Amino acid sequence: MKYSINYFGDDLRILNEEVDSLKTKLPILSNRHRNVILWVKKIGALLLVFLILASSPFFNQVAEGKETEILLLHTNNVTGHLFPCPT
Amino acid sequence: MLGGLTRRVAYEEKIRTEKQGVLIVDSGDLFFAPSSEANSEKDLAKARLISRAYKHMGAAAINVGDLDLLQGVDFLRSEYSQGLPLISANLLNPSTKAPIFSPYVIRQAGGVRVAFFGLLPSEFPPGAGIAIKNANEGKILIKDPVEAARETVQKLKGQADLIVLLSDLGLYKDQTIAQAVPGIHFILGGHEGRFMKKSQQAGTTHILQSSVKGMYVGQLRLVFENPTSHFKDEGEPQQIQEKINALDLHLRSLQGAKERPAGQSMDNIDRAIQDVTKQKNALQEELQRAQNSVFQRNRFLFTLEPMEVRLPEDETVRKWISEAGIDKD
Repeated sequence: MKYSINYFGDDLRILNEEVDSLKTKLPILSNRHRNVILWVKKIGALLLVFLILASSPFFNQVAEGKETEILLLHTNNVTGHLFPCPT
Repeated sequence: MLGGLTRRVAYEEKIRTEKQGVLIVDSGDLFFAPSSEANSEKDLAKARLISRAYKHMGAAAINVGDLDLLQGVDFLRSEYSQGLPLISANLLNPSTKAPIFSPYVIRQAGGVRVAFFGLLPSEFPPGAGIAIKNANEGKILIKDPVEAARETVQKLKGQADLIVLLSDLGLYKDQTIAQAVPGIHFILGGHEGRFMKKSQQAGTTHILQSSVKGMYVGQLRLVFENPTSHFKDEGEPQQIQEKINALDLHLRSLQGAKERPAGQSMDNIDRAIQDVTKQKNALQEELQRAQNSVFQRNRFLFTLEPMEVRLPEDETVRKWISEAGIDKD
């Protein structure tokens, strides 16, 4: 297929017209709105980093000051006994 | 009558459903009695049932005791390959010098990383010792427990918040290990099968045993707050209070004797009352100190729960025993 300069020129013109029409349909973002979106993006990124770190072994260590209860159930010298024994 | 596998399983499973952060462990000599004869089909069948029950309960770690070797290490290898969490830091393959089972395991409980490592004695008991040697000729090598403990604790540093030794060494050797290898928080011991209501402390390590034949389940409740501080026995104030109560009784009997003099001189009774009162006052001060020191520290409480025959049985395990055709030990 052979393309002419005019062919691309027409495409660019159509594209510009579509962009202009979209600009009229959609509200233009103010600087304040852009800053809010940027801030939300940054918070999101920080949250993601926090979640990754929280699941890492380093952060899984016991935090000082936080009480944790563990119960160990222990036997020794059962020596093959399946049934109750006289005390 | 106390004990029984079906009751123990039902009891431990009930606790596991009621509470979080529960770990089930055994210190060794689980499978065979010292009198177990070589290749005894009945003893092997019983041992398989015990293994199945411990897997059913989701046991966290089981140390290999010397008596567990009575039917040969191959029996244990087979159970290990089927998921039984056997551990031993000093039972080695003589050819490779590598541990036959995992030297340690690290389990998570309530966000705490609990490491269990296991040790067995390098010398066997006079009676069963010959049978153990015959059943394991050329198949095992036992490393010096102190050396193995030192190496294992070194490896565990930074990997675990709490280090527990499951020991089949006996109390005297446990005390030696505790003194020689700092960093072990608890030794849950065995070998002699002592009935220990109170922990023995060696260095900063607390040593406990839970009787014999599955008649009791030792419950070690740990409240873990500060990874760097030592554990304090929450039962200590209660033990001091019991001593105070005994002295109170003694005092009352002395005062009764003073009111009804019969042979003893008043001076002797007065002196005895003074002595006992002095002891009681000292204990009351000790009690105050113990109560204050337990506050806001890592602490533990150990109790021995009797497996009484009135307790419910686990129906699944009872069925397995019945299917195996075993009706007595």
